[in-house]
Amino acid sequence: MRAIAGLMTLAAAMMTAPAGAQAMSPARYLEAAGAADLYERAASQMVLESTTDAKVREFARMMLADHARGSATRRAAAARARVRVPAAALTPLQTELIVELRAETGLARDATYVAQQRAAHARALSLHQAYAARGSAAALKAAAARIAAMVARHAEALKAM
Amino acid sequence: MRRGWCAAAAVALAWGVGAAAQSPAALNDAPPPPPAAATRPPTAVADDMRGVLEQLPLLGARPIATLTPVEARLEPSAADAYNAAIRKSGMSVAPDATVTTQDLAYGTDPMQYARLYRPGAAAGTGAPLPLLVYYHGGGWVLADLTAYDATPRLLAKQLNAIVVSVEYRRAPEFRFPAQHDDAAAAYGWAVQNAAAWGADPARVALAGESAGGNLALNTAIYARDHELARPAHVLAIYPIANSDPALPSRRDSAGATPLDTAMLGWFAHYHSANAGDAADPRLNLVKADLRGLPPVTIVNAQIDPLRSDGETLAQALRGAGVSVQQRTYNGVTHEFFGMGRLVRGAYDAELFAVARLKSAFGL
Repeated sequence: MRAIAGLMTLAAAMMTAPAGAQAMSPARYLEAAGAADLYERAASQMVLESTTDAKVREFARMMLADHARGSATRRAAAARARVRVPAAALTPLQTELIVELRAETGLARDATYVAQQRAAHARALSLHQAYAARGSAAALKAAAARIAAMVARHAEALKAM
Repeated sequence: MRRGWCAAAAVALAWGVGAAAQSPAALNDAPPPPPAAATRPPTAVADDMRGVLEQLPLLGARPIATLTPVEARLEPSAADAYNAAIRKSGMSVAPDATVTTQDLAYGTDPMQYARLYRPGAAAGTGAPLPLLVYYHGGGWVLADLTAYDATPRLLAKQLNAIVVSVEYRRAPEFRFPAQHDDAAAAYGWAVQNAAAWGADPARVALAGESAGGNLALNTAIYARDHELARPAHVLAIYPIANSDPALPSRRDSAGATPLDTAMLGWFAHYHSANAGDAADPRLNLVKADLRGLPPVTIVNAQIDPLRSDGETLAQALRGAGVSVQQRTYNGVTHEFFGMGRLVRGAYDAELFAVARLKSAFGL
């Protein structure tokens, strides 16, 4: 009886979900996480070229190092889970954010970078936490949990900026 | 096929009742079935507003109500669209540096913190400034205080006040009434700390947008009922205030952007802890005890499924003897407030709101 009820729940859940609304697939997680890391590296590299603020420089350097490490952690986990890692590409929103950052100079670029980082880390935290809670590939789930903890530390650091 | 789909949806919904998930797992839960398609053509959007909204598809926006919460949180926001339009106009998107910010915790959860906005003039005379406690929107599921930076920054500068923009725990990780609890706790904390920040706890007002407009009004009710400092005024910008699905704006703005009627059902699906929550007077504010509240200003957009919420709430407030001014701005949509650098209707609404708050603060 419980098995039948379970099947019915599953069937109902699958049928109520519009296309694309199912829990995140490993491929989709890798795509979104790869894009987030790529954006982090591009934005942080750009601010490092112009900033004279020691706190911004320190944060941007931490982003370059940590997000490279995060990407490596995910690639290793994906290999263990036998999931192919798609080539990282910026989303249209991230492309616009980079263009906005490039259009600013000096202190305005620093302030724009910090504002963008706050928004980007909120998005990334939600992504990694959700996959860590309900991902379908065990190795990748564990990697998502480790990366979520790292992103949460970054979000806390941003509160002090 | 379609009937079968609907029946299965009804079964799933019925079984889902009361299952108040309190973990990030729910971020991946499938969205509710969509309502019937819009039957009326949308009212004409003003050219300047359209110039902002047209950025959303360019930024890759997808219909929110078809997405899981985790996917929806990755989506471009109205603030992102506004910034893109500003950048394309050749202006700077950098936040106004004459207003400085500081993040401070008011609770133990990482989301229980607030951002203090201090106007440049705060360092001037040393006289205490008015205090405005502000709550952001996002249907209690999406967005955060960073996505709603424009309004608190603008109000801090224009009012020469300290604005406290409150972050709160979001659904579906924390369902109703966690957001209302956090809003009230943050208000009490802000009043208690006002003097230390250089603000005057005797001159405090509440403000909020969308879901945050609802929180601002509920916090005024909470303050009335719990012997907290009474706010001098409440500014509610397109608040969620009426659970009646037959409201005119639910139909005439069913297909509006960036908020459509389907999203309201989507928000409720992930936010509600129980089936009866929609009837709770904290959500269905038009049925709440509104007596003894301070003067209220309500700002609405014409092309917004929440327009009727503001209009019916104004009637309910008047019926309860509360002084209220409500204005609906034509040709603009949900999220227009704070877009005054590009959108004329927003500029006018911002002037109206600032004048009302100045008067409340005795400025």
